[in-house]
Amino acid sequence: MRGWNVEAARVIRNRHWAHDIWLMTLEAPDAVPKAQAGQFFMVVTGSGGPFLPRAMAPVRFYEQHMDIYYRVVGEGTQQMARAQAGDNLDVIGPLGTPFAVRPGPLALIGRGVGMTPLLPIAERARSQGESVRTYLSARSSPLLLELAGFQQQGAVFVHTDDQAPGELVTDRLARHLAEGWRPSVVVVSGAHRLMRAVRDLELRYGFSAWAFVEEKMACGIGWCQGCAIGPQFRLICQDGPALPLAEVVV
Amino acid sequence: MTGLEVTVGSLALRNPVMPASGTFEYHPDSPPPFDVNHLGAIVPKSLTLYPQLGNRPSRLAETPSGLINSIGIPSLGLERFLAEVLPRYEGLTAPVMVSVAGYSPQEYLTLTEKLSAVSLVAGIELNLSCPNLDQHRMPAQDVGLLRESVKSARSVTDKPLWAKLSLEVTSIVEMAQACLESGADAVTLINTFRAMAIDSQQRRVILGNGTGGLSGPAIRPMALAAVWDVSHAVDIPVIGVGGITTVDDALMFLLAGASAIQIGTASFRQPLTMVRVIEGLTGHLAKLGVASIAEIIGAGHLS
Repeated sequence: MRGWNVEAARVIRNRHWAHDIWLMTLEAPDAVPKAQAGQFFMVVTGSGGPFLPRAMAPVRFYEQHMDIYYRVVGEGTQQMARAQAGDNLDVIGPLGTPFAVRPGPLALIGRGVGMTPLLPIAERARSQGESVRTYLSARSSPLLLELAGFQQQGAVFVHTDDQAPGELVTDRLARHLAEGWRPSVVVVSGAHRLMRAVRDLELRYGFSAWAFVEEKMACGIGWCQGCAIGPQFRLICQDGPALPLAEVVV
Repeated sequence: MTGLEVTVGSLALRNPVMPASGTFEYHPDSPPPFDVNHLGAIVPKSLTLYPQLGNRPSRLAETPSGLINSIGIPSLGLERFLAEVLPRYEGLTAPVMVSVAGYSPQEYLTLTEKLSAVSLVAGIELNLSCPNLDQHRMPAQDVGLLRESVKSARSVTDKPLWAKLSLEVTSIVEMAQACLESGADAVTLINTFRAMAIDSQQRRVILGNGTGGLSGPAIRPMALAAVWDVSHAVDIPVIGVGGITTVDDALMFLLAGASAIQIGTASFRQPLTMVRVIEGLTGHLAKLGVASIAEIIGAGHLS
């Protein structure tokens, strides 16, 4: 992690997307061009909100802008949802270790708003000439975020709870593996249940699996050492946010 | 001269603002977006004699106006700290006050002795008040152990020695007096308050360790009163810490009698807080009608 900054980002757009999910576009000319796939930002939610900033993984970085999907769950995200175009929000970043795309086919598995860090990785992999398959899961189809964006990068397989309750999107990956398809790297994000399922497949098929993980985070910059995870107490903000799946699912 | 110079005992600082231990890390490979030499001092996270991983997750719980942490002092241990961490501070002009946490007076002695031998260590802050260590009597809550710990450290160093205390005692004045009598050069007031949080929906205690320490603006008025009480009753310099977030907060602590202040939890919300407070103090000199910030230390008065 290097080269983070604190910047007063300008809210370009902020709108309700579906159910409890919102989409915010921020302009941050200093920070955004430095951001790489796999990194995140801390968003300071403004006075009157909670004391600590909120960690956010943008779904897209372009020129001076970044798009952030967020789920409104508490005071901090409620405060974000009240932000208007033209408002300023401090952002701290880019933070965390960029995700290095390695050679070979890539499988991405994401659920709900947790799928957002996967799109920059899909784009990065495609730009390196790798094939990408994406497996997206959500409560219902409006929450299959950025479906078209993922489809531009390769084949996409989807699952929604309302259409096929009781199934997991990783069942599809399991079928593809049984049929002989072999990813070299699998990245999973957004649901612990999916992480456990991928861990089972990793042990069986031997690909390299990574997970985007979450813990309460105070600073995002390695100062508080609060976001420890796994038996080695690795810090999500520095060693992650993507960590080897074996360290996360024990 | 900027007008912000202060002294804490014999230690001269370019300004009175420094990080609270455990809330700021400096690594030249990923430096913060400001010149760390602008800080009055650098205080790294507490060091233990032997390596330890810290407490199990979850380590954080947010509260109104504050934060409960149960980090538990992850530490590389003295040997690796000397070999790997201290060299990072070489070349910096801000004095480095190393914070140490011992499990016995003997450990405070060993840590202080070894660290004092290193020239770039400006002084030692004894963390006598971490609420997050298991099976550990907090010296700050036991006046006998407090005296013994401070005396042990004092016996092996001539460098500035600060004692960081807890306000969870019957009389903070008595504890500060004990530190003075045991040879401390200053007291750092205060550490966090033991606290906890429960997720009522899941009936789950949030912190992995059960309880933690409360910091942030929630504790600021209590910290301010502790600074006031000690600086008016005990002839020892005070470093004030507890929820300081703005330049006005910093001024309150200086007026209450603190010779310097530490900023902790506020840096998690806004990493530029320390440098902004320093800039703010500079701007306030004229407004306060003083040439030197030192003139306002202890200048707060009853109406």
